[in-house]
Amino acid sequence: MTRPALLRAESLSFRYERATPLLEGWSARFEAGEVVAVTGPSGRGKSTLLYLLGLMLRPRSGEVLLDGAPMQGRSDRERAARRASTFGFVFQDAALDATRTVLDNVLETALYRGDDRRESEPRAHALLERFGVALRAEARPGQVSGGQAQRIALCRALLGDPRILLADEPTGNLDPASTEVVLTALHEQARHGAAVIVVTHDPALVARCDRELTL
Amino acid sequence: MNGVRGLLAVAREALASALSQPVGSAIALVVVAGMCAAVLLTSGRTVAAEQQVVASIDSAGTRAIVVRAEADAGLDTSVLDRLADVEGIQWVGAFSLAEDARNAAFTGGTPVPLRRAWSEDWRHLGLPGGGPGDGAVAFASATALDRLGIDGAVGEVALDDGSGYAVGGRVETPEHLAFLEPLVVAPQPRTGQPVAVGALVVIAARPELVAPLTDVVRSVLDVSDPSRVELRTSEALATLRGLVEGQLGAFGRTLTLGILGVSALLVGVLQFGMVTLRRKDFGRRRALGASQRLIVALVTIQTAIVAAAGAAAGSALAVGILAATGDPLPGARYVVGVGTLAVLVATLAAVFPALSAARREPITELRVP
Repeated sequence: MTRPALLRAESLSFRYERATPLLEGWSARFEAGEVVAVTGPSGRGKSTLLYLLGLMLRPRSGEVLLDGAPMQGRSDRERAARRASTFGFVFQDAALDATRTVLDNVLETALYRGDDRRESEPRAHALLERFGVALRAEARPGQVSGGQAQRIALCRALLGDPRILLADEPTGNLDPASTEVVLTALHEQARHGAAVIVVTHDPALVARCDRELTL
Repeated sequence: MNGVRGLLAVAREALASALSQPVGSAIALVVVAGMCAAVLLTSGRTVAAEQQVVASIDSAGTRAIVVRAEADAGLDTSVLDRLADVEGIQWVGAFSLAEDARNAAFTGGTPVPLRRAWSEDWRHLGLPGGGPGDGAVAFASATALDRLGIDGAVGEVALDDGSGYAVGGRVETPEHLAFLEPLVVAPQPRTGQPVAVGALVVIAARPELVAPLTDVVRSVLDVSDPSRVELRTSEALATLRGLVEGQLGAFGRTLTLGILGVSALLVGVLQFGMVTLRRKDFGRRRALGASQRLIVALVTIQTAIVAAAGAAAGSALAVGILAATGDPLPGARYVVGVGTLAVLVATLAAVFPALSAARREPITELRVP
């Protein structure tokens, strides 16, 4: 018996209200240990695909399977628990809470996973150290640069050591040095057994991925 | 994390969230503080006044049923036996007809009425001693001692028939025996032989029992000539108590409900506005794995924390104002009750905005500019 893919999309279709349909029966599978780039022109639904794979949206039709188990019919509570425990997300604009400190932002997902905040703090500090933003731990997101914000978002995504890392244009606002840090982190997570799916327009990033899916 | 630790983690996050939004939290706090202060300064003041009036009405004097009987009316100490098993009586005492007593230390002193007394419970007579002893000791009020010319509350009184009593001490005349002043009373042990009674005092356990007990007392007097017996009660005061409690209480309750209702609406609208302003925040939380239940818990607990702070501030302010202006205070239980109610109302008012925040599509909210 073949082992099910870590994450699989089966004939996915989606449509926002009063908008043209997206994806229209799109299928793919994602295995542990690989870094996959999702590319394509703007408006084709790359970010939407990421949200569908990350259980943030429900497809109009089709199915997302996690470890072979269909997720479409699952309750909001189950899907939220899966998002918190299995996935790590890096959004295009970092999506940090401007009213809280950098450390609070990194530790945010611990609450959703049911992890103890104090027990998670050493790992949060280690991640901030690793991505060169440890000195900004008590700063507010408004006090850090765009590149630093994206690295903080990456710290937040990696806090729970996710099995699937979804990143939407993670290097879009970064200088070459920061880009290299992020790329190294994505590959390292894949080496630890995670499936990493990256939406990007950056040819350099695509070149560093294991495969490319074009929408 | 287990249930308690999980709840503490959510409460901690809610507190951090409240502190990170100082303007919204301050407005909610002021609304709840205003709600508590308004309730305490209006209906709280009414309740305090009601409590004072009712406490005054509830005193033993206003629960008393006093029977005065003339010498040949036929009322005697056997009435105490008939009243012994009647429920709702706090105290009953019988007093003989008054006899003139004078200071035995000199002749021609001012006569003061002395009454022998019978009861099962002497504490209500305000006697310094425990029981009646052999019945040879009398006690006198300050007024009586002054008229008798006895210093130091110790001496002897003589009756016109030549008999006498030792004066064993001073009594503080209780309110329900004020009609016997100047009071000189000689507690007597009960004997089998009935003795004529000139006054019978029955104290009802509760004001509302005065009316039914009056009928019972009247029925067990067993006097030969009812026209020579006068029965006085505080029934009118009991009725007044009911009116005070009913009307002032209803007014206070209506006022409280009105203020709480308006404040709940304000808190609800405020929370709805706050939730709308925080759409992106909730979208991010939902996208990162917060369940709808967690979002509802966060919003309601955050509101409860702010409301609790507001209730404490508002209550402290109102109590301070009432104390400064010399108005009656409604009592700790009422203040805590109003505060608790305010927190509950504010928290309930936040449930609908919380549900609204939880049910939104995470990505739609996250994409709000």
